Amino acid sequence: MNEVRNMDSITITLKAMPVNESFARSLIAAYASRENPTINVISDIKTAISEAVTNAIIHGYNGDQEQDIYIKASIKEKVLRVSVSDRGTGIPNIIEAMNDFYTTRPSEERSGLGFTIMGSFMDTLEVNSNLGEGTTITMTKKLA
Amino acid sequence: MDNFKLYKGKLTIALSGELDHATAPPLRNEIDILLNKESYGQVIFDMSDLRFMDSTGVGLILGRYKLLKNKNKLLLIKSPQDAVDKVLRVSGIYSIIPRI
Repeated sequence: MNEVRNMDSITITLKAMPVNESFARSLIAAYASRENPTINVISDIKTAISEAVTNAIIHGYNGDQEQDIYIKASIKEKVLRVSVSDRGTGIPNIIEAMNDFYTTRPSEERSGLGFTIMGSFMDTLEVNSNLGEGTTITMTKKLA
Repeated sequence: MDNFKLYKGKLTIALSGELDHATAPPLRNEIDILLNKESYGQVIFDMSDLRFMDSTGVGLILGRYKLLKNKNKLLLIKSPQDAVDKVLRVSGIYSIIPRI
């Protein structure tokens, strides 16, 4: 019962629209701000969230803006845990996808650095994906 | 893109606001129109007013780098804020595009 009462969490569902990227990163940054993290920590979180949401829009849903992106965030013992999920195509080969500069869309000037940045800017990064079912990216960041 | 300045063969393009998957396409078009229209020896992306950028911005910069390299023109990055600078450092972009 105490665990439930002490669980500080938010859940949001967003349409997979590029314009929602800035909203998502600002929202999670505002949520994390209650622990008074440094500006650098907030910047890192915003960048990582932006990468995860972009990933869902471009790769998960192939630009279909009618689809939904699910974001869950919680803070426990001054650690932010955030997951960004889509119910899209899934990633065929996660290890390959996490390589620096790997992109399936070089013609669109994608840099292939999304996972590199998520992994560098957050303390932990976990990717779960199933073909035809979708992808969940879970990251944590110490706030103080 | 707010503005640009051409002085002694240096085309300085000021980037501002936030650069992500939503804002990159129109910015890319504006920059490419400028790069095809003006006459210059080198291009400087002035990032002092760019508050946010993710890897989409890295893709945009690398795309312009390749375009300019094919024309034997130099691209430089000027005054990125800390958050943008970190993205650029992690991307390794400074190994091919100098920061001034």
